[in-house]
Order: sequence, then C-alpha cells, then structure tokens
Amino acid sequence: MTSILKTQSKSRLVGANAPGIIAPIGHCRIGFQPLPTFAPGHVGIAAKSGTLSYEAVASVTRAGLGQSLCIGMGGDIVAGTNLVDSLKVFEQDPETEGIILIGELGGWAEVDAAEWIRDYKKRVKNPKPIAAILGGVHAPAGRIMGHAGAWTSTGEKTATEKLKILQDVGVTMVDHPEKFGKVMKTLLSQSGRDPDKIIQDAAQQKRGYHTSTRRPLAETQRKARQTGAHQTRNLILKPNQAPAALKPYLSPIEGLSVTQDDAPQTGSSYLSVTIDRTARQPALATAPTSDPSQLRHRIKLFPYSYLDGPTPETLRSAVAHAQLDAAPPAALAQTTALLTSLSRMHTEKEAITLGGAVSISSPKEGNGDLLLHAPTIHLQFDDSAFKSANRQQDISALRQRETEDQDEVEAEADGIVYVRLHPGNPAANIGTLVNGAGLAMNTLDALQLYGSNNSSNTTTGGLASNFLDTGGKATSATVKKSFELILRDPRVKVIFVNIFGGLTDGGMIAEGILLAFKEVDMRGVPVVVRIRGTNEEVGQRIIAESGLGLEAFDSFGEASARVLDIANGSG
Amino acid sequence: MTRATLQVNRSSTRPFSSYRALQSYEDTVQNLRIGKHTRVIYQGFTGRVATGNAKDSLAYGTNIVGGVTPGKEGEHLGLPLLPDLRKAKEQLKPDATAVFVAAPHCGKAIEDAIEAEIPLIVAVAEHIPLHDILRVSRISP
Repeated sequence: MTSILKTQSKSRLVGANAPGIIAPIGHCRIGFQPLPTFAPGHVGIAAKSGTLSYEAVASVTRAGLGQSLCIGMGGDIVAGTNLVDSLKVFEQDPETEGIILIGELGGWAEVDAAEWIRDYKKRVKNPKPIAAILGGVHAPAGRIMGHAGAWTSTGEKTATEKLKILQDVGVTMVDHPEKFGKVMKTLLSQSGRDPDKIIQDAAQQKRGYHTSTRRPLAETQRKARQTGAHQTRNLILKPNQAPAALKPYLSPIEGLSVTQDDAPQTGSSYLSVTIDRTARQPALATAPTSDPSQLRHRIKLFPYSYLDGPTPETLRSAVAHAQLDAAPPAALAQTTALLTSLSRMHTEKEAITLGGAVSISSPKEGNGDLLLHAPTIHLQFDDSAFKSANRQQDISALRQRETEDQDEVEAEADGIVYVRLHPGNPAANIGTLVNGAGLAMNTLDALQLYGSNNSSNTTTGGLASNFLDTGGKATSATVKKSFELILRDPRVKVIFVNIFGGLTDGGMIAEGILLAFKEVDMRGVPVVVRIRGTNEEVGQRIIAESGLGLEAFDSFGEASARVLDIANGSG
Repeated sequence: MTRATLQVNRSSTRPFSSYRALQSYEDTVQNLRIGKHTRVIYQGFTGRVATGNAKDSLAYGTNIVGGVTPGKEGEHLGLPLLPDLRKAKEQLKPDATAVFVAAPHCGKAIEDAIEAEIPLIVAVAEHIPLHDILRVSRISP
C-alpha cells in the first residue's frame, strides 16, 4: 500500500464523523445533511458539529443569504479536512461572501484558524467577514462531550481561551447559532458587501426545491440498528491497572523503575505520546516539568510518522525539550528507550495518550537511573478499536464499569451519551435532551449564559443537571429512555428538549416524548420542547395535538427563556 | 502578537520530506469546490442507508453517476453498479466518492479510494477507530 493521503496529492478526505459537504447552488450534496434546511446563496460554513451547522444553515437561510458551500470537519480527534483547509477554499470561492466557523473544545483547529485569519486580514484588502461559535465553553474538565475529539488535552487551549483568540483576530463570536443570519447581514453590510443584493442573487439561484413537498422519506423512516455494542471513549486505565499494561513495554528497559512516590515539585519532566491533530499523526509530547499548573504551558508536540515511529532526530528534540539531554548517560538512554517504547505501545494498543512524570534517582536512592512516578501515569485508549473493529480486547476488558456513574453506563447501551453535571449542586436543575453533541454542548452554554444574565435571579441560574446526546441512531424508545435517565436526578425541575433534526426525525422525537409521558413517571416535571429540522412540522403538530399541555417553541431564544423561568421558579 | 504566541508549543522541526508531503496534501483543498458537475459515486451503494441517501440526493439534483458494492455488478437505482473502485474509476470517472460503509470497514474503504485516486473522499461514519485514520493520514519519510 503506497498511496496514503500525505504521500500523494490526488485525494482530499472530508470527515470522518461529519455530515459531509454540500454546495447548494449546484445542488451537489455528498453526505446526509437535511436538504430542506439549505438554500443556494453566499455564506460558506465549516463546522465540527453537524447539528450546530444545521442551526447555522437554518438561520442563514431564514435571513435570505443562503449558503455557497458547507464543509463538515466532523467531531473526531483527527479530521481529513479542518477549518484552515475550509478557509482557504472560502477565500478563493467567488460565490462565498461571508464565512461561518463552528468549533468546539478539543484540539488546535480554531487556534490554527485564528492564525490564518490574522494573516488573511493583513494580506487582503477587503477580507470576507467571519463569524463563529464555540461549543463546550462550560463543558466539565476531563469528560468527553459526545464527539470523540471533544475534550481538551494537556497543553491545548480551553474553549473559552479559543473563543478569545478568535475574538482577538476580529472574528465575531455568537452565543447561539440562531443569531448567525442577523449577524452575517450586519457584517456583510459593514464590509461593503450589500446584503440585499446578496439576498436577491440567492433568491434567483433558488430552484423549486419546496420544503413542504420534498421529504427525505427513505431517511426518515429508517429504523435504528440495534447492535449490542455501543460506543464509549471512556477507556482510561486506573492507576492500579497501569503496571500490568505497561509491563511488556517497560521491562526491557534496563535500569528504569516505577516508583509509587509522587513526582517531585522540581527536577521532574513529563514524557508522553499523544496525537498531533493538525499534523494528523501521533506525536511525542514532553515538558521540562510535571507540575500540573505549569505543564500545559510548557508541553511541546513532536509529531512523527505513524508507520515508521519517531526518528532519532525527533527523539533527541523531545528529550532536549524535557531537559533530559544533559542527564547522566544511563538515564538519558532510559528516557529515549521509554519514549520509543511508549510510541510502540501507542501504535500496538491503539492509544490516544500515554504519559507520566519522570525524575532521576539521586545517588542515595538509586544509581542516577530514571524513575517513572506511578501516581502520574495516564493511559488513555481509543475504545472504538474494540467496539467497531473488535481489536484490543485485552485493553477493552480492563474497563471497570462498576466504578463509573451507573446512569451514564446504562445510557451507553442505547447509544445515548449522558453526562451528569455539577454533581452535588442542587442549583443544577435543568434536564436537557438534545440530538447531536455540538448542539447539546451549546444548549448548556447558552442556558448558563442567559441564566446568569437573568435579572430576576442569582448568578447560578441556568445550570443544567446533565448533558445528553440521543445519538445518531435514536428512536422513540431512545427518547423515552433519555427521559427516564434525566428524571432519576432528583434535582431536575424542568426538562428542555432541544432538537434540530438532520438524521433525527422531528416526528420520531415527538412520538418519543408522548411515549415517555405514557410509560414513564414524569413526576409532574414540566417539559419545554423545541423541534426544528427534518419533519419539524410533523413533530410540532404531534406535540400540539397531544393534549399533554406541552409547551412547544420554534425559536431557541424563546424556548430557553421559558425553561429558565420555570427553573428559577418564576414561571 | 507573533505567530509563536498563537502557534504555541508546536515543534518547528519537521523533517523536510514530511513537510513537502504535507504541502502536497494541502494542495488538494481545491477538490473541495464541488458543484453542479461534480460526478459522485457511492461506496456501499446497495446498502439501505446509501440507497435512501442516493434517492434524495438525485432528487435534489446531485450528479450521481453510480456506485460500488464488492461482489456486485449491474444496475442500482438506474445507475451503474460496479464491484470495485478500479472499474468505477475507469468507467464512471468520478470526482468524488461518498463512503457509506460501516465504521469497521471505513479505514479500508478510504484507503481503496486513495489508491484509486478519487479526488474527493467523504467519510460520514462515526466511531471509525482513531488508528485507522492515523494510518490513512500517515506521512511517509
């Protein structure tokens, strides 16, 4: 096999884990985007989250601006096409007048984009206006928020930091994608691009694709496949499991030993193997300190070829950065051997991150050999290797479900990603039920933002009790299960169902809500529903005719205001 | 603010050949400019999801020219159905492939598409193992 992406210049990959790419002017759709949402026009959109991109598309369509090209970057750790790639295309595309970026926590894509944008605004006389949104601003640390890539690795910027970085290069940030239409109109106007002319041109481009007559029936009637194995990315080994897993990779390194002592405050280094998302390759990641407060600022990535492993040059650079290049010869050799061995383990066991702190034993405690500090060891693996491809059974078997939140574990069996939030805080009283990780993350962010702006209440308003993504294979039964899980949390005072269906069918969601009311003890908890996207009229009608007195909304702003009123006791 | 401040902590020492190869992949961004004439095929063409998706895209106006399902040949949805990408490349001259193949087999499907030099490969599946994607993306020294 010789023709792999980077060794050739013929093939471009989009995705994976993305809705695809669509050019509405030419009616070219490659993927599963909800067709009725789109309209031919002149805004380019690049997005990590599918559902957030649909929201943005809907807002831009309602504003009359339409879309030129929408590129899905996807939610995985490594993406075939990232935000900078998309920006390059939008810059050159004569049909694109304005640009929207949709990012989220995890990785460097937004920071790389900001750097590109800074340069773009310098070299181009009248740059196209750019607006953006970032999901996961209020995501809890250490959790993977639905998308495989939705977590901040050591050394990466947080979502809040990335938001500021984009703002600092002149990108207009919005807190909810509903606002993109209006914001883009303003920005276009400010940049001397007449939005009315753009709207006129977009209207002329439109063919007769009527949303009321064309329904993607084949997709909406699709039944979910029930498979036994559902996905989790939670494969982080416990400290007591690490020694056995590491043994075959550490024992050949003569003189290296593992100590149960914590790493010393000074005189320790951090060694690891992780992923360089921009390079789309594994990387050594080292730092001259293991102090957690400094680590994220001092850690540096040294990418290497997946097939060939780190070169001697790469190893030398990584070791030098860890300031171990001047170590006594034995310790230096052990450091290099450790990094080499970890990179081999990374490939062989399909790891995401493997790392820990090291120090050199003093003549009193040892021979000046390398010590690996057990309490600092972090071993994280990609469990989809097992779940999708039945590989790495030994690693997968090490997961200890009984030590995890049992509701979260139970949710997995139905393909639901459920994360309890603010445990122990009774003010977290809004249950959320959303389709799509990006939309679920943004729902939390927006509620918290609007809640804290709520003049009638305290600063702790707008806290959700849970993150819940129904998953791409959701059925009415999945929706009912979601309600069950949410209601187990006694803090919940109101449930917000926020749906923008792409693959997910609005009618199916509505049926699921009715099923829940029939078969689940709802405890009298009010439910506020917002259903948009695929089959939204069907879904909205089912809710209206249900006789359950449910409150149904079209706009997120109105729905969330109602939710906050109920949560704060003023509704 | 300088590049170094934004571009924090990235190694500046990439081996030349991998940098050149990286440049080469970056050249393929132009393949993202799809439109009316883009000739699209499906991998996994006869699958249930691909079939439904193709019907909708055809109704929308996408220029779908056929697809591939291993071991099958003939017609599907009135379009050519071929058993492998090599034949599809020869006969259909596709600009893009929609990979509607289950996650366990996506890595291989993408590699096949690269081998066949299809200019644009769109992979939609969730839960493709990370290392399958790393293998697909690898830099050769």
